[in-house]
Amino acid sequence: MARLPYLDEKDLADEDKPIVKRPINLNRVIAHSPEAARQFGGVGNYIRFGSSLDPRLREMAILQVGYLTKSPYEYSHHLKIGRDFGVTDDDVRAIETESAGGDSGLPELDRAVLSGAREMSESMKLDDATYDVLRANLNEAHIVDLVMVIAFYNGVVRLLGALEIDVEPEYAPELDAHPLPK
Amino acid sequence: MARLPYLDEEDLAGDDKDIVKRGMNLHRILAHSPEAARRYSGLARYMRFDSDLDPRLREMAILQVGYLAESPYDYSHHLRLGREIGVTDDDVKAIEDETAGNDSGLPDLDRAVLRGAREMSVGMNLNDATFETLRAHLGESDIVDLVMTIAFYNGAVRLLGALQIDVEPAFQPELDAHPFSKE
Repeated sequence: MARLPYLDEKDLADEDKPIVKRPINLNRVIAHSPEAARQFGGVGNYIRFGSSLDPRLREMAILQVGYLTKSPYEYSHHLKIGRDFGVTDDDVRAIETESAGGDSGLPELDRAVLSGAREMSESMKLDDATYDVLRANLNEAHIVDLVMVIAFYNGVVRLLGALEIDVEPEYAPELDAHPLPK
Repeated sequence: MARLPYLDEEDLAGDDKDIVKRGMNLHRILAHSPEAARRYSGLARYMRFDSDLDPRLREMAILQVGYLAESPYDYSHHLRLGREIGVTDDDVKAIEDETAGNDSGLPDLDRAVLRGAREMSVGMNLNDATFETLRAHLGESDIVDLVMTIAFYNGAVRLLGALQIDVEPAFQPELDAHPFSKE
């Protein structure tokens, strides 16, 4: 149960109603601080719609963060969003394999993106070998965007967890299909 | 040494030169992706200039995140900024004490803010007792802002670390005055 009440359009001033236009639970809680919600959404919207980083790689990085931190909300949402951007079931299984230290057989860049997400999440850095593969394949702007995605979502999972934001019923089946580790 | 070259005004298009106007290394790296830099800074500036959350508590939370992560850039920058808005040397010492598991004698709310920053950073959550103390003192909007600040700076320390962004010489004395470890 969320630690703050969920807000709907009727609870918000006119200029703030757009915050819950997509009435996902995350938006309905951060709407308690409308300008914070707008700026937070500004980063999220850039990542999803403004960045030219390969969207599948971006979603793989986000899923890796969610899987590692065991964030049901983030993981369930991005299983669905990821599908929309080309992440396959095999890709999701590969994240599980790579997280356990195995070799999923994914291409080198994909594996470096996942490894980088784990390294940044756990140790706040990127190993030289990982960075070298990323830099061989991505230009400076994409490096910044990828690092920002991984960083930002390390924030997102903490915000979701701290406020105990509930997974909506329509997203729960994602976690049945691809459970998080215990 | 940073993993990407630092950019200056002459490297950037007209609309993007603003990104590096404060000359900070963080911005000089983010500038490789100008719109990302703008969106990221938009959230950071909201927290610093527009949030109603008590600025001293905000900076204490940020310093706790930076101290725990041993992020030289984040910590040095927020030692200075914190001082400017009311964080004392005793407060900084209290963060060290609380992180080591001791009672610094700070008020309940301050201790809950620090504890909450540690709980979110390490465990991706807030303990019930911590949340209850915060909620007894802070309205919903401040709760969101505090949680968002702790979350955002968990991102910041990872971005800074991944790109190996260097502490500018002007900020190094902050780390000399308040090192991460005592040996």
